[in-house]
Amino acid sequence: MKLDFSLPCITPQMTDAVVHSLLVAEGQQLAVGHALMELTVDLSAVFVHDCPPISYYRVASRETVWLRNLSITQGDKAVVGQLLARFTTTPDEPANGDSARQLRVTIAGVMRQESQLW
Amino acid sequence: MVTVDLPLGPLSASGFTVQRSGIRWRVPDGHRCRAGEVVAFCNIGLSAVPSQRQARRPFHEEFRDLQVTFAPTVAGTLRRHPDASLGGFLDQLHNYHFWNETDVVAALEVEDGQTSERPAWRLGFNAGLRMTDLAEDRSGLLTGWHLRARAWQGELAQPATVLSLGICEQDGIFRGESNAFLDLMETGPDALQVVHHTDRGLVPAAAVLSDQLRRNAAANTAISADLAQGFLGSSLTPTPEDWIFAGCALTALTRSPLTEEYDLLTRQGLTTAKPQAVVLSIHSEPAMVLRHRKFGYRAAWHRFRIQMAGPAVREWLQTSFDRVIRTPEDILQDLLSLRQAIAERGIDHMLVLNAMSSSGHENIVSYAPFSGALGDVVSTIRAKELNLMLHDLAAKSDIAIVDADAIAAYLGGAAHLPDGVHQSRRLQDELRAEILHILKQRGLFGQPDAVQNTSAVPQFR
Repeated sequence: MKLDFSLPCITPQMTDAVVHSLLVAEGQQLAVGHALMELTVDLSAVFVHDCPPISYYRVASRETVWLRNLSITQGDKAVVGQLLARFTTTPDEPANGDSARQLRVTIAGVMRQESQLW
Repeated sequence: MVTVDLPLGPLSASGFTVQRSGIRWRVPDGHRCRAGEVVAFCNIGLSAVPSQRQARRPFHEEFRDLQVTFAPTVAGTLRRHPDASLGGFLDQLHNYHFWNETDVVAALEVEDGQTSERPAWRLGFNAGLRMTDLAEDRSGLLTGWHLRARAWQGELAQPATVLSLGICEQDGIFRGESNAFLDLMETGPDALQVVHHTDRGLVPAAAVLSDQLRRNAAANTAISADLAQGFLGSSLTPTPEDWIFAGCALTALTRSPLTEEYDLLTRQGLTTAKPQAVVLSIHSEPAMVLRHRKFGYRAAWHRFRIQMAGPAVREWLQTSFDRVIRTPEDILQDLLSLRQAIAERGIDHMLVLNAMSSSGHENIVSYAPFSGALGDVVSTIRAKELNLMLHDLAAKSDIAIVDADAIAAYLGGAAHLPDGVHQSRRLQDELRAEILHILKQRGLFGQPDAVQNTSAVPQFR
């Protein structure tokens, strides 16, 4: 079964996100709970804000899947709904064609110690 | 219907002449006023009488942004005197009128027999300490860029003083929609002063505040010299943003908000006051603070502010400071130390706002994707740990928790606190009411009420 992961609307006001880090590689098998990527959501793009509402999220798979294709690279900005990756539930089935549904994921807000301050 | 003139009433300061600007109206002529609604303001100033010219000048740091507000003591229809306001600079600068208690700037139309009390003005005062004297904005009520802004009720001699030291989440709670503390002054007790320090120059983490308390003038001079040497010794040319950031940082670093004394002018005359209660925020306690390598003092600035400063600031921070990672236990110790230090200085009450610890934007079904200590990675776990730490802190001390987490959850976090920090007006009103309730219960305003709370939110204490 083919599953897509498109950038979800994590907060109602967001229109896009930056892929801060990619934690998977094409061809990789992902167990349930495997982290996919970390996203930076900056709502300053939506409304001018003196104290920018920037938050970070980690996305993890809730299914056992194989990553067949990545449509983005680290540092890219994606808009809500943009296709980011294609997965399949078996390693050798054809990866092209329409997907059955979206990959089920877990999303959590995270902190970034290493990038704090500058 | 009876029309009653509203004279200014008495306002004097021994040894000084009180001057004022023209009146600036906040409501139109014919406005139906609530009792206690601030409808006008003017700028005021104190001129020493010749025999007193050597005396200390009250409000010497705030004299350019010193204002008085006017609120009718009873409800009625306002009738503005046509000559009370001439507009322009005449309503902004205090040099053009002397305060004369019989001057009538408006009248109030009230119903016959509406009240036995003769309508009069209830005075309030605002004072702003500019971040730099250059930051001038006299366009409105307490407008401008202030390191410190405060407001106090003007009818009683010695108001209780509450000091707000937090990040932007406290701006709206204390300064309100008007940005001039009107919500607090209109709903709070009759004898109240509120002082708000901005976090633009320095984030008021407990460790930072404690170090400010301990520093003397010589230490502050050394800090200034060190920053100057850092800039001048660098190969980078500081940009205007660098200089402005550095100026604001030095302004904040070389003061101690917890030891400041405030001049007060009320209908009873001139007096001074010190803070009796301080309100902090757990949001002011970052996971990392900076510690100066040479002098050992701690400092914290918002990351986005550092990023908006120039390269010279970033180089100074990188070369002069170490990063210190702090656990919730570290923060607890910092808060306890601060509590002890301010208690020795007569500040009897310390409140800390906790953090919203859940997020409607998450759908965590497993913590397997997160390695290491969850509190170091997942922001809602960190918030929960900090909130639990505050409970431990409250059990060990007399520090009170303002349960912003529970109040926001009750009202609905998605609607009223969508990013966990910036509140809706409704949430700010509730947090303001909660803070006043806690302070009332602790006796800051005299006898605590038996059970009285203007908040509609269930009490979770």
